Amino acid sequence: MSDIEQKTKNILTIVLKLNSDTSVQNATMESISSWDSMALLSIVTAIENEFDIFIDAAEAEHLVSYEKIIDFLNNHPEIP
Amino acid sequence: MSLSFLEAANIVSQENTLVNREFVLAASGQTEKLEMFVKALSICRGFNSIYSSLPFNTLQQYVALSDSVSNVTDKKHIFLLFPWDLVPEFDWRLGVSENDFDLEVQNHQAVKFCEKIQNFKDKRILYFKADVLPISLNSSEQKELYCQLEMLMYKAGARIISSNSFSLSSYLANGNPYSGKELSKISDVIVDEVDGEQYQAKKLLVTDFDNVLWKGVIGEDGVEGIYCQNEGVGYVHYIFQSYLLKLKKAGVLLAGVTRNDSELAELPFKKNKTLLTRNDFVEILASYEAKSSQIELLAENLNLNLDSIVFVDDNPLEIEEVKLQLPKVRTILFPPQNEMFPQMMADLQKQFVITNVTNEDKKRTELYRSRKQSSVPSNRKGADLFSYLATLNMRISPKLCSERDYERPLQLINKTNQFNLNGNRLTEQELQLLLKDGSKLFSFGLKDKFGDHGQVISLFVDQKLCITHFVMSCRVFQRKAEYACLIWLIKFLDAEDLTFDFHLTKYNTPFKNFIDEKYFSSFKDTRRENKSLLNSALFLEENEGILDLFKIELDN
Repeated sequence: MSDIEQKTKNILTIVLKLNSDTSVQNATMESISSWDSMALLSIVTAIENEFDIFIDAAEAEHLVSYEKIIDFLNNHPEIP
Repeated sequence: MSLSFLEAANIVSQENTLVNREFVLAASGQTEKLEMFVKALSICRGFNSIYSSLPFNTLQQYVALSDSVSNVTDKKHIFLLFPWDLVPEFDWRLGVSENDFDLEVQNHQAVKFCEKIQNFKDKRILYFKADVLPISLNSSEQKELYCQLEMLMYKAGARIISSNSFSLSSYLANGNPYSGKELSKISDVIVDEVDGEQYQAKKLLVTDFDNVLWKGVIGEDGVEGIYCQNEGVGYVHYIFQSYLLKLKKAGVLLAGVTRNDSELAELPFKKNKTLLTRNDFVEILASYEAKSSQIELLAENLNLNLDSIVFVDDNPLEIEEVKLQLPKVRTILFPPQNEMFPQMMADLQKQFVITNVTNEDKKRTELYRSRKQSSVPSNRKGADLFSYLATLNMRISPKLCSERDYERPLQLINKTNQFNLNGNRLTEQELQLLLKDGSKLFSFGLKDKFGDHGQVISLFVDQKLCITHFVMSCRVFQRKAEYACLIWLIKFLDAEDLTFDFHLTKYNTPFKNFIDEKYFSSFKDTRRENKSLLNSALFLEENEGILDLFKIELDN
């Protein structure tokens, strides 16, 4: 598991208060009841802080699943 | 102190028995983003923050009602204010109003708001100097109002927070005005204000010497290589000294704590290189022990509480170490760039509230000096830095240097005095000869969360596994980097024993302390020269845990 994947997994687990049985890799806004718009805001904030990047509101709207977040971070120019 | 989100979450998840401190976080915007950081940073300072916050956009109402509700104003409040809290028309979320701009009316509005804030008895104010909505067609008039607001905030005792802490995107999207990247910094200031002790007048200012009292490192650059005159590179250090002198004359005690040999530390005073004299200091502790233990000793010697002490140092690591071990001591980082110097001085100025100076104040240093017994530096072991170092995310990059790639290691060997195996210098030709004879030159880079320190350790190993040169930059002392590099080297060379060509010099006490440890023993080699032998097995066994503090990144 890459550093990006591990950190994202930890962030989602903490912000969404997921238990150990939940598969974070398959988590989406639709499948996780605690993943509402406020939680999305917290996730975006945590990612910004953890990876020292800025996420525009338009980009944040698309970060609605673990997979999409990983895809976004892997392609971010400021993340090595 | 700065934390990432996951570090903060980890701290908050652990149970603790710390005392609770209650307060109200009063802001017009959403503050949820800050919660994790405020809680974690409070725990780092030795308490739990228990706070309530206001519903979104209700600050004006809350403040307006304050004079009629005394049980509200008695509570401790931390106000997080933006320009639009004083002049609501500045609020980006409102859009530009068609109404005429009237400087006087808007200013009056802001003054009234500040008067209401004064009803709160125990309050701290953070004022975010955010960019504002263009509400006037006359930009200079708007700028005038903007400056007046800042003045008002200064008068109200606010701490001014820079504009990059504001995120317009986040504010427009969800009412959170704080930049995600700056959350830890903002929260650190909030916790600082909750801690609250720092605005009580301090009695003792403890200052580091190298790159604080003067520009340069006395142990490396020598007394002629340090600068603190009212010109050139030492200018800000001269200004710093002149302020310390003023403080001393007003009754504030000055003390020096420096990683140096005592004689060396006092040399600039003897040579009249400094504005301050030796007698302006009530004590100078020169030692290689942790700064926290030195400050603790000073407090004991002078019979002062830790919360009456301000400590100034240019090294973020030393600052963090003191913060961690002595959370009551107010720490101030002497900035690396002159542009940040005015802010540091303003911060320093706030610590010492001096209204009138008595004759006793003027003589206080002399009174204390005559009272104290001695100024023997602490030989107590420094604070256990391990847990702190683990948070630094340190990465070491070892490199075996070639005949074409030795510039920085050679420079390091030729300019380092303190952590230096024997003080032996090398010319380029000598270095090339050593390489041709089969000696290996290693260079180690170090990065941590503070940034890239560059190549900071150089060492030469000859064919008989004797280390002939070993130096480390003083910028990275106290990080255990020398241990990590040696462990890596032992493994890389598969060396059961390593010998060290150690010689004591005038300046290399830090290396002597290193080689005095139990893993080393002295012997005479075949030429009857003194050498030190490292018991690699014992060294590895007892220090292998140090590698957990570092990630090794092979430099290709």
